[in-house]
Amino acid sequence: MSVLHPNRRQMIRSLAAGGLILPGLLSEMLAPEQALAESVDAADPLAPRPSHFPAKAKRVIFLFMTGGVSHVDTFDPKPYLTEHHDERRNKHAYYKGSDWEFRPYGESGIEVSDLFPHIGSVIDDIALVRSMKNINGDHFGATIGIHTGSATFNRPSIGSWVSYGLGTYNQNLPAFMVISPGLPYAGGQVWGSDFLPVVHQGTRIVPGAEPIANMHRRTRSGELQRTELDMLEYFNRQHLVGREADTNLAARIKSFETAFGMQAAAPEVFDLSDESSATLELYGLEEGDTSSFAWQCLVGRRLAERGVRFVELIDGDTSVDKNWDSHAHMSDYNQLAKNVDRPIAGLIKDLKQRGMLDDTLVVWTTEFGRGPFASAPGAGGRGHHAQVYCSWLAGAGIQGGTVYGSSDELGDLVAENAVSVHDFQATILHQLGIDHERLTYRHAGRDYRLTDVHGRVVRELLA
Amino acid sequence: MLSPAPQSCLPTRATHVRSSMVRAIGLLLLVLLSVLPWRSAVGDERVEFFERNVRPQLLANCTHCHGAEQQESGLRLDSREAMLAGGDRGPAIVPGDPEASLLLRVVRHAEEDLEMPPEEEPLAAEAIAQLAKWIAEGAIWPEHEATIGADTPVDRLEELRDSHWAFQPVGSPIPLEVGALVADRGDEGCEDDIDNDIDRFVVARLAAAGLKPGRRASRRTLVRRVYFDLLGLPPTPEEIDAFLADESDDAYPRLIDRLLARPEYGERWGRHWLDVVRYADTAGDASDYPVPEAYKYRNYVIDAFNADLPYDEFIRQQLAGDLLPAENDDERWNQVIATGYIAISRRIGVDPVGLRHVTIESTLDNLGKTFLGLTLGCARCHNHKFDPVSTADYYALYGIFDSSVYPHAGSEHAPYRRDFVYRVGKQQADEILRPYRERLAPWDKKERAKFNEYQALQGMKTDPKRKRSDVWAELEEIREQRRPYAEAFPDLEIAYAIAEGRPHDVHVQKAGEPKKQGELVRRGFLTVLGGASLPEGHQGSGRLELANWIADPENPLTVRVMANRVWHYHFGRGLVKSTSDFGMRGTPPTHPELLDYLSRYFIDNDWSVKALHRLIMNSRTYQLDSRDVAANSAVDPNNDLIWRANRQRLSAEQLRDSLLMFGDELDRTPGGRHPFPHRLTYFYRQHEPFVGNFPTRRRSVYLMQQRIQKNVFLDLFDGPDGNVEFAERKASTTTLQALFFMNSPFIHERARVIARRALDQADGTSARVRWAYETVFNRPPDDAEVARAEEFLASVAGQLDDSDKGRRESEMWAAYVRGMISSNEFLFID
Repeated sequence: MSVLHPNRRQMIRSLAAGGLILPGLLSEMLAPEQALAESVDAADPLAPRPSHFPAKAKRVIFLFMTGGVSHVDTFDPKPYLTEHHDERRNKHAYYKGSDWEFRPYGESGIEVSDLFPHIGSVIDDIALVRSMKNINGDHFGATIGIHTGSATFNRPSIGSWVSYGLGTYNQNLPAFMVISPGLPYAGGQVWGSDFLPVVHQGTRIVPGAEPIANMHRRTRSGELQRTELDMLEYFNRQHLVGREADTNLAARIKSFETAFGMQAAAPEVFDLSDESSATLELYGLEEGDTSSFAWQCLVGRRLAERGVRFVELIDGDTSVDKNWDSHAHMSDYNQLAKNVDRPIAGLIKDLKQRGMLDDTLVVWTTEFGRGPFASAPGAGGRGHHAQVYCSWLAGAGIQGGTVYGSSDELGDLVAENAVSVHDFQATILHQLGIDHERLTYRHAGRDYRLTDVHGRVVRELLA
Repeated sequence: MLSPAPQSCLPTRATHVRSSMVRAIGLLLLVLLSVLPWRSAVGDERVEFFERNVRPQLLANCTHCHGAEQQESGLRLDSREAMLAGGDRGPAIVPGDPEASLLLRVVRHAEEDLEMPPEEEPLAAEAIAQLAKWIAEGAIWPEHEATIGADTPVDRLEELRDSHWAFQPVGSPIPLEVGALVADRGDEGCEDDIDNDIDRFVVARLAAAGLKPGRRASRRTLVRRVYFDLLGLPPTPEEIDAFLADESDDAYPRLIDRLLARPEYGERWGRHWLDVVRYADTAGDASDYPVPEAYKYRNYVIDAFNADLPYDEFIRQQLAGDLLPAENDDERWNQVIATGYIAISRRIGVDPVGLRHVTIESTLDNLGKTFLGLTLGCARCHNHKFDPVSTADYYALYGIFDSSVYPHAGSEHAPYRRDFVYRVGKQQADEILRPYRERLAPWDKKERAKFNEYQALQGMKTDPKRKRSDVWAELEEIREQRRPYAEAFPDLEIAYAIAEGRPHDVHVQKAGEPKKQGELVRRGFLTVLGGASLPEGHQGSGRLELANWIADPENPLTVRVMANRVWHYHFGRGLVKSTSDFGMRGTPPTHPELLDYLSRYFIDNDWSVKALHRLIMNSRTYQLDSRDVAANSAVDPNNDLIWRANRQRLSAEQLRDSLLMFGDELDRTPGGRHPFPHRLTYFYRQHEPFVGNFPTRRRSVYLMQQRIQKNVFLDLFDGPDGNVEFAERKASTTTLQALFFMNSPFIHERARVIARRALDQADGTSARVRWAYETVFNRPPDDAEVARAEEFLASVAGQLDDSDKGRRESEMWAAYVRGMISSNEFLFID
């Protein structure tokens, strides 16, 4: 991440000049990244670590749609449903066709509904899975299912696993950051590190005055803070005498340096004034907007650009009218899709323009799909449907313009090539150079992994 | 792991040097390995694959009919040789060629007349793929094991019971006499290293490695350590002075006695227990329903530690308090509250009542780890892979809890509470509450009817043109109308506790699926621990019997696990590091004889935890300095042999409570019920889960703790989880913690208050600096430190343009205090 390097080095030098860095740490902080990547530093759990095998992706941007996006209205056309709309299927079910037209996009000609014309425009960069299966059909279980591999118990989230496995390049920012204006189902469990060290927990960014908790200097002036940190440095130095062997003490001293770095670096991340109007236009972001999904996407790109290993963008929260859980009115989708369609496409285009799409894995997923049947003719909404739904991947070694797996002609069950949440997770880890069966953590007497005892890398999605 | 030391006869100098080098290298390797996030892929990957993916399948689906006991069609699938030899139809596998392997063809249903497993669902595609991969890669079989199935831990139960250290009866080891130690070590310094029997074991173990313990900590260091350890709070400067001024021989033991008698002791040590039993104030279901009565169990735990309730009795009360005799009604009620231990089991999903097996799993998982140091959860679906615990054992325990009634705190699909325990008894409560219930019932009915209408609209069974939001508004209206009837309920005394249900045995649930019934199992205890069963004609759940089996002094696990926990909390690390896993995968004790000595002492002293504290804290080993000794760390860098104290970071609670105390803000009264809304009036959903934050100045143990939404502060500093057993806290160092110290309102506010106090307490800069050092660092500053403070204050004063002298002074001192309370000297205990 060359973008920030000069700044970081400058800052480290100025810290050193101000006596804020212990001798010895300085050379380590200024060492080339390659050297860092080859060592495992117990006192610095976020130091970059080598992957199991060469990685296609250096980082992930994980887009999560809360509530469960209907597959049959977005990425999986079902003419049969339209044809038989409102006809009785059996005692309890009537076919429910989509309210939206599908049309082919790109060279691949993959069909996408009119809800997502912008995403359609980048379909040739996308590998679409039409045979996803979640392990649970409830919001809570499905949400933690796709994030942690378990629908019931607390487990570390995928971003935490990645942070634990690979560390991060930019020590001024956490390895795993989550932009989540509201809380998804299961709340903080979605980015929790559970039994993994808490340093791997997702740092939540809440759009607003202080996106990262305590990121703003609270002292009256920068000078005052510096004087104060000098004082702290003095206390810590005095204390260190005779205790030099304790790496925890040095690690904690260092944490203030990185915090100082984060305090300096973070505002810049959220300051979009250096983005061109063309870029804003790409995302559909209006000037001054600091809360929309477009804002999340652009800030997501900026975080990725600055070396954050795993960026998650969460759309919607648990209130029904703000997420994709349209039991009553599928027509809500017009607005919901509008909120995310252009930003997501803009993100992919922007990454591509900057040459970042080659090593950035973009993931789009949700809790589950929605039922192809209604219990009454003319019904407005759809129920939960975890047996089959859609997700997609783009960038970093992914074969764009492909479709993998299919649902049956009703969109009810997987017809072929089911992809479980564990398969999906295994594939994401694989692109990061991680063998999902070897990324383990010993806890309570056994080795845990993200994919539990499951998971198959879906090689058919790879270029 | 280090092997147990010989008790006499040191190795010669030459071999000693070599062995210590080997040990040093070994330890170094251990360290390196432990920091690598994944195991290095040295060769055994395919065995690993077999263990993870193939063995379980063979055991679950094949070897029952094709194993040691039965050989259907003349085929065995419990060894590689047997697979190659095959049965009536020829070899079962062709290593390297899955397509040609009969095993694969039958599970794929590719053979016309033979499908396996018979009469069951076909194996999942993934399972088949794993078998195929295993065959394709040569059907690798673990070398040390010719056949499987015949020797799972459950099958080797007797052998393991006779060989695994933790299952052996607790011995009565005799500590080495000083004379023998002197002879062994060949110097005269031994006597100075021995305060009590603990030291004899530790020094002998060190001597065997050619090491000597480090020096004793200063009294000033010690007093700070002891206060934080026993009370979770630092000593005040006055308390330090009093201790330092007391030159009598027994000043230190008397200090310990004094602290053990203070109420803060229970708040500190009760918190340890609450960590282990994953205490929380909410249920953990998908909407995280509040449990307003949970605090009674929390306070029970705190009181039990303060009263030094014998540990065996503590066990009995928590598992079966409602079934124990009591001298009066207060005692009876207190014992009922104790069963809150079972009641606080984690709930899951939108209908936890319907997921009873998951709730009971939470109970058994915790019970196994907490009391026995065994992970029982694995045996829910299959015989334990590592420990000799069978599914039959699991369901023998399961039946006991299935025969008990768990309270229900509400959930999305069943918002109304039920099965709480009333102090006046169920019958009387029913009588008192009948009129209220009768008045509320029609409203409950209306509320549910309207809710169902709303749900149905969701399910599209009714007129879809009717707006959901309208129905929702009507629902809310009904709930408001219902409210006064709910709030009118008399406040009877209620506990979140357990009651007896219909006593019955349960069937094994195959693969953990409640619907797949296996054999019926008589309620009883783990086979490896004696396997007692409830007698014929027994009336009751069996909880009391279970409590007695666990609390039996002959049970080799119970006493060792608790003695080790107490050691763990004193030293930051147990003699057995895996404090809740004493099974085959746990770490063996570094000092097995010492552990037995402590355990024996614990039993002989009527299971008094405070007696154990006194024994441990009066040892010289506890009083060791925390500083490095180069000669020792070269051999034992992890301090496994205990030649120094482990420096420990303040816990989240110690940090918060200390800061409140420094500013004289700490409210020392015990916490009670949290200000949840009225218990009968809330309706949480996944869409609107309970999220609460009840600020308080009380000690942190009294903070409301949710299962789904964690307390941000506690979480930031590695606080308790509340969802799973949390036997060992980590002490992470993160950037976000540093930002918290630099910029959080909490820290800035505390610093302001503490600075105010410094200004009030003392006159003049040097006296104030002294007050701050003694309060926060628990030591006086030296001249240079005072000078540095003066320099800092002057520099800050120069930067503040405030004309108001008072305000400027406050700010200067607040800045100074911020530095102090952010520093390592405050945050670490030597």
